[in-house]
Amino acid sequence: MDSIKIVIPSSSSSPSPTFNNNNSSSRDKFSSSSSCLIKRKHIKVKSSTSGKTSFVVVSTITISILTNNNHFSSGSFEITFKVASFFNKLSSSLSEISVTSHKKKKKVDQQQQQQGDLSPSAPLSPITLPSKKLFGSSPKVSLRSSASSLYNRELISSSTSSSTSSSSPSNNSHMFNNNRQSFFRSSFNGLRRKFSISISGSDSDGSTSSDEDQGQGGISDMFGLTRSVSISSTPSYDDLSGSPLSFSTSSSRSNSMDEFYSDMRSGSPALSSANSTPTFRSVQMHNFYLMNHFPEEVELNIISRLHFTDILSLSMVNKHFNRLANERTLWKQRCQDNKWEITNKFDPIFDFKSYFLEKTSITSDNCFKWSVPKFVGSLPSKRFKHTATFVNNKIIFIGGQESDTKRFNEIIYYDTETHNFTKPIIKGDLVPNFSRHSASLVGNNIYVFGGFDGKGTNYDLAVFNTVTKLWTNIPKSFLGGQCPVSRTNHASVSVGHKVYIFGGNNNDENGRYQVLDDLHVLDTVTMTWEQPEVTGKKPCSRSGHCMTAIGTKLFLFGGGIWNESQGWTDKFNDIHVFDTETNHWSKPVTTGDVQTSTFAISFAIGRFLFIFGGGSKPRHCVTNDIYILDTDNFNWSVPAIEEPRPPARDMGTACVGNGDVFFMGGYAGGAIDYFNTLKINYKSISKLTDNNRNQNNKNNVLKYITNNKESRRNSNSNNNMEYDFGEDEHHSMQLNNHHLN
Amino acid sequence: MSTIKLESADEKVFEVERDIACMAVTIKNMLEDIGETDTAIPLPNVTSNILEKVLEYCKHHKEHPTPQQDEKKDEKRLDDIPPWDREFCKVDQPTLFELILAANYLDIKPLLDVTCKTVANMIRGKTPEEIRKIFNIKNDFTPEEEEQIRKENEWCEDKGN
Repeated sequence: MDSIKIVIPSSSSSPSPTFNNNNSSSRDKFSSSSSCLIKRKHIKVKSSTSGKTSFVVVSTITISILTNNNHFSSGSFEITFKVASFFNKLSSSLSEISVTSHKKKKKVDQQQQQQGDLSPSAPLSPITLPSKKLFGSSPKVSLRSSASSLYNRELISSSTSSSTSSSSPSNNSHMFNNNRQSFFRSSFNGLRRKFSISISGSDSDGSTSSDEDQGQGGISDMFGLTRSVSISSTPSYDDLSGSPLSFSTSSSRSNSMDEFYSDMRSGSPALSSANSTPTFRSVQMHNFYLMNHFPEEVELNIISRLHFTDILSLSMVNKHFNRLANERTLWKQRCQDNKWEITNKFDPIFDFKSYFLEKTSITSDNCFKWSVPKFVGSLPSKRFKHTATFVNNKIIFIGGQESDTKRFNEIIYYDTETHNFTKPIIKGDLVPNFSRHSASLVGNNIYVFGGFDGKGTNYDLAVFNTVTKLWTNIPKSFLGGQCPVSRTNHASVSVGHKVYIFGGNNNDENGRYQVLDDLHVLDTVTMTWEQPEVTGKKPCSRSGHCMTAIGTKLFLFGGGIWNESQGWTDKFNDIHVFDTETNHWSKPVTTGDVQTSTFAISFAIGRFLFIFGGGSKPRHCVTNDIYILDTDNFNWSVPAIEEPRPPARDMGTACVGNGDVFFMGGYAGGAIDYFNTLKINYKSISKLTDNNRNQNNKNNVLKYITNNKESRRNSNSNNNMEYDFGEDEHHSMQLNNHHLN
Repeated sequence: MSTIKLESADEKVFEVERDIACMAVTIKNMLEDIGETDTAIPLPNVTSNILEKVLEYCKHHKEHPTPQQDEKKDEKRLDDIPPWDREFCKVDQPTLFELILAANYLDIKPLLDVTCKTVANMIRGKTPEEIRKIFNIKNDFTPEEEEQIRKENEWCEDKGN
């Protein structure tokens, strides 16, 4: 309870407003001089109105004024109670109890007490309620001068209950109506009688609290915006000491006054000018609402005008603003303003804020920067059609070729933290000299499929354990299901514990060159191949395409149809999407232009699919453009990246890791050994690469456990047959045993 | 020109031209609803000094209509407050906020726009701490929550805070 005591010097000759106060304690205390005791009480009341939770802040100000002679000699006294409240649509109404009394000396009306005794459970609806009592006989009810919190509670309940009880029989029955007109009519009538109480509620977060401290705490944010309290002509609180009114604050909390803004103005200037000395003509009090207790639509109005960086700042101010600043529609509007529409317009959970920030970043002209990474050790020699896989902060390059005949069996590690190139000793089976294979990471294992050594040998499935550095060629007999035919220039990608392989080319049984359009799935838990039943329109046969997973969807881009006599007879720059959850192929309609097609280098960062290099679609050359496909609206764009860019190429690799993208090798009229990075300057984009990694790691752990279980199960069922790409160096022999068995 | 009477919360009666008062959609709707009246229309949510400011604004804009800006983008811009309006909004914070409440309540869109823009300008370019200071807002985050939100909001490498 905060009390402000305004002491009017008893020498005052001016007419002093007086009230009879049945609160004897304060009278005793101040009976020697004219004084004004102002007490304030803030109560939060929670109620339910038409299914909505309403929240009402009621500030009750009790003013008791005592003078020596206990009655008014002259003058007028006016108190405006502002009943703070917010009510969504009807009005942002600050409703008031306006009490004016003229030369009166009345007891607190008994009837009022009765009303106060009514149950407080009456609904607090957005209502304007001229209390029956206050209406009936204006001079009777002057001021309720009790300081007890109980009383204050009663005040509210009396207000509400009187509204329910009195409104229907009275001619003010419209006031329950939520429409503005009746609101006005009724309050009009009310004001005509000089009294009105209106309470309205809004659905802001509210808790029932009549506890004083809680009430104050809740309100503390609302006040104190301005600490000036003006009494009559005194403009500021600080100046009060010099004013004819002595003003003292008694409060349990030293800064409690700071937490309130109360504005006491002279309500009737005419009167105050007529009487000079301690011009305590009329006191009008307002509780002031700070910005964060504006009606929400006003707050959103303000926030919607802010630059998004300011909205981000605002979201860090406090919880209330955090909630408002993360308002989905706010960011949706931002995206729409920028014409960043998404394909699935009705996605109810789409995160527009992240989308906006990512799009803002990715369309900035300094989002990406090309650079040459530092490294220790020797750079891998010129090569193309090798693979690069990022795992545990390392990029692992496998195979590749420098020419048709010179192919590599190298496995090279690049540590993205120490920038070290190393060639660890590989255990297990011999790594073939091969290229044009595919590599997909599941857990710590890289599943390598296909490839060709240039001398007539095609390869099937091999698994490389990146931790134990163990290479294992998997015999077809070990695998369940129908193994896909060996191939080259296909694409593979992993989602969860499954590896998806599409297309490519090989020679059929008769040695005829053919281009493939088949999709195969390897379940790495059961080590079973499957050709899933697919729906939708699958991509035509092709090779030299790329396939990248975003979430559970595979994005297949480009490729072409090549033959020995004519070269590329067809080049594609289309996008096909395979949903691994529904096994459905779709070909979304894209906007924007992408002028590359075959042997392009793809990678994904979050929702964005990147394509770098590749054979130009309209012309006959390799490119060094980057295209970005926004997979939420299938729009191709070209990011603005400061020149110089790395040389054009195709058949190289790109690997996203540690917030950068690493490009290695490729082909540009011959094998190249360029090593470049694309640096990401914006956190909203670079942290997406962390997300990828974290997800991967999570998968890894899961994978590891299931793999182990699986291998254990296998070993149990197969009498010491261990299929573990980890430690067992004799596994292939055992596999062979298994085969023989 | 017909006039109507408006009564502020503190019972001051203002006599204004009907056209000017009707810039407030709330009043306009009400007048349509109740028809001709000689009685003062009570505006229990608006005090006399605020109502005076509001009417000053309406009067000025009745006499100096601003050219229609129907482009949605312009609305978002913060630096396009006309000079007169900018001067008009040079008031202390409580007055400005009460003006916003009054404009919202009376449904005077141009006034709401210009006052909201003014508040938005007060926020512009400020750090969270500065915003708290300006509007005297209490930080109710725990340090962990604050760190979490800071991380979430990181979008640009060179943004320090």
